[in-house]
Amino acid sequence: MIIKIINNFYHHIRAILIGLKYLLSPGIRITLKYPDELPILPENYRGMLKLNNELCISCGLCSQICPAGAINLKLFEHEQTKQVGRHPEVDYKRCIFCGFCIDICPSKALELTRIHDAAFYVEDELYYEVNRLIIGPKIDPPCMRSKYVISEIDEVRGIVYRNA
Amino acid sequence: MKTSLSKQQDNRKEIELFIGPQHPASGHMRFIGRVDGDIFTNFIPDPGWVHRGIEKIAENRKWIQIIPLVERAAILDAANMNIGYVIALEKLLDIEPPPRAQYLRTLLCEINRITSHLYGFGIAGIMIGSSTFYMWPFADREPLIDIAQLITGARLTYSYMIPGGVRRDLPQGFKEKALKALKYIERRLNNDYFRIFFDNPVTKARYQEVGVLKRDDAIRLGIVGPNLRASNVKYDVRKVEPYAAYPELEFDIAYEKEGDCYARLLVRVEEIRQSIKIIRQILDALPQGPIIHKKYEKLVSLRKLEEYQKTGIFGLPAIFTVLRPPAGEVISRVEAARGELIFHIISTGELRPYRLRMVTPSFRNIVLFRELISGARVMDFPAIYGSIDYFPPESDR
Amino acid sequence: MNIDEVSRVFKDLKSMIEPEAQISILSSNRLIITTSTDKLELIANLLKNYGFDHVKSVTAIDYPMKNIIEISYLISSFNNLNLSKIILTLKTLIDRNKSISKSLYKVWPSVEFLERETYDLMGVFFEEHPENTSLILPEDYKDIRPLRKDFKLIK
Ligand code: SF4
Ligand code: SF4
Repeated sequence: MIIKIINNFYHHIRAILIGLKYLLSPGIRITLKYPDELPILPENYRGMLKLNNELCISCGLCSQICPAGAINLKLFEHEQTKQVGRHPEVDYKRCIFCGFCIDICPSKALELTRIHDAAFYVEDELYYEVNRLIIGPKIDPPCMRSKYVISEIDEVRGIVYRNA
Repeated sequence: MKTSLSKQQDNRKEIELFIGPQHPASGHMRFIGRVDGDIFTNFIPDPGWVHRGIEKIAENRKWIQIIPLVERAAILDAANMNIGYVIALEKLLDIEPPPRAQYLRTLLCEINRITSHLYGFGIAGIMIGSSTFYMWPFADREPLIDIAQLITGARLTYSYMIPGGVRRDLPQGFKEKALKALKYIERRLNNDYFRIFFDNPVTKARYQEVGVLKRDDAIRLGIVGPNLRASNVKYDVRKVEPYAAYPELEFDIAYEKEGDCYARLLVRVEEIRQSIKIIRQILDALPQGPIIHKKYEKLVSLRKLEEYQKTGIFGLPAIFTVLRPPAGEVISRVEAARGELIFHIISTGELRPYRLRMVTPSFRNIVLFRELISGARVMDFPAIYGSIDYFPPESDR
Repeated sequence: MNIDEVSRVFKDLKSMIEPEAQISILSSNRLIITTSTDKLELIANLLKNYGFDHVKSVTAIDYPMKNIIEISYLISSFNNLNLSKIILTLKTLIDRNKSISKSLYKVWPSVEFLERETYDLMGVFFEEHPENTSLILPEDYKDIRPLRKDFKLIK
């Protein structure tokens, strides 16, 4: 009985001490202060799409494989080059960022961007027509003081964020 | 849904207690309990609030499009859902992925198992009121999610395994990062977690000898996963019917004898340790070679092949849009983080499966609520729920 | 598990259940037993005594053209590690219009929620099941059951 009480007391103290240790030690934050800090994502991150209409051969494979039915093909004529073809349009209301369309595109006309913040002021902007898809997503930094950081895995602190 | 609402209140002493359906813990789920004093005399789980009809939707999707779909059953255990389906599909197509792909699959599955168990710890922690132990495991998933993101390009919805292999090879410098993350998680688990939670007398008082599931009952009710192994049944699909690279890897089945809430927790701790061991072995013994079956490697365009040889990102061959596995029936089972996952697929040789049956581990564990909580105190409910690691979206499908 | 082991189990089961049911091999480690609905419980009891102690899945498959629904119980064992390497499918065919089958709850209590789900989503009524109420759909659901082939998804 008495041993049990002492034992319990010991373990209580240990729990409190470890809690205090992490409470008081500086800079052990593992979360990212989004949007003040924006992550630079790894090279192969599956974000929003970008189209190179000169490479697109209008094969339609991207719209056939899309599991969410987010891609429609549309007849499109480029303003400057006057090139005509049936090119994909992406509806980001449906897209699940699986990257199947990019992987199946035989001519590498679709490519990854590392942008994932598909947030817009107007709902219609979520629908990327061909000409916007050619330009690719451009997201303004969400706030004035946003800065880019790189995350690094650390043995002691889990993840540390370094200014890019 | 149970109609006990409309039943006559025969016993005046008892009152009916509703818990949920607005996200009582790990997801949307309702419980209907009858309480006498603070003892549950009857307890009925009522799932179905996040039912998405995956089985029906799958009948209307092409074979390849089902890969992201089945992952949505348990988003935190996506890799294991993924591998279960892909193994079934490969059995129908009669192809076998190359060894390197097998190892990469196993690697992702084990990373996922750790993150999923950590999630379960967090939920268990907050349910018995330890908000510190809610934050810690959730934060500590982050390094592991980061290394999974390095492999697959996505944080949670990997869609990494395709019939015949995997989509991407490991990036440069992956091994060092992964080893660092493992070291971090190992230290946290073995020191910090034990001090703040597992060895904490409060946890022990709430968990020990609460919600005891006896061995015979566990077998009779068909429980799966860590909950089964905590009742001293050494059943693990990775050993019983080894798939992917498991036959070549060395690990033990984690099990406990007591069958109470604390035992269920300890089984998960031991499973994380075993997973760490498996990942270390994989990183050391990863075989060289292709990541995709020869048959499909020949089918991609030249430009994609070039990219594959340069960067290790394999494009999908066009044939995947018109994949027609031969007619037949196939049953696959894998060990997901919460237990055994079954796919039973009927193909008629069409573009889409005729019937896809998916039985998730949470669905088979649902009966535990009635068995363990009937007769327990009201305040044991959160302890038992947390220790079962039940995940409603996975159960509802 | 080697082939001998499976074929030994196969022979055992064959001598045990014939002529009430037929046994065949689907692939290695996967066996199929087909029987009629009235013999189902008898066969199930035999299998249980042989060592198959739980049900992994109840799969109902709708064949509107043949006017049947096929119900498969996937059975295996936790206790006997040799048997647990096998998944045995116990199949029965029922009439699609009537959609009534016999519950195996008395033999394997683990079918409880699986059968309830099948009742709910496929509309197969299991006689002698302790709770034939809906699990996922609303209680007063009257429409075609969603997993039937004539239930169409709208796009
Ligand atoms: S990323 Fe996936 S969901 Fe999005 S458009 Fe491409 S194929 Fe469709
Ligand atoms: S983007 Fe690629 S896959 Fe889509 S139509 Fe053009 S070439 Fe074909």
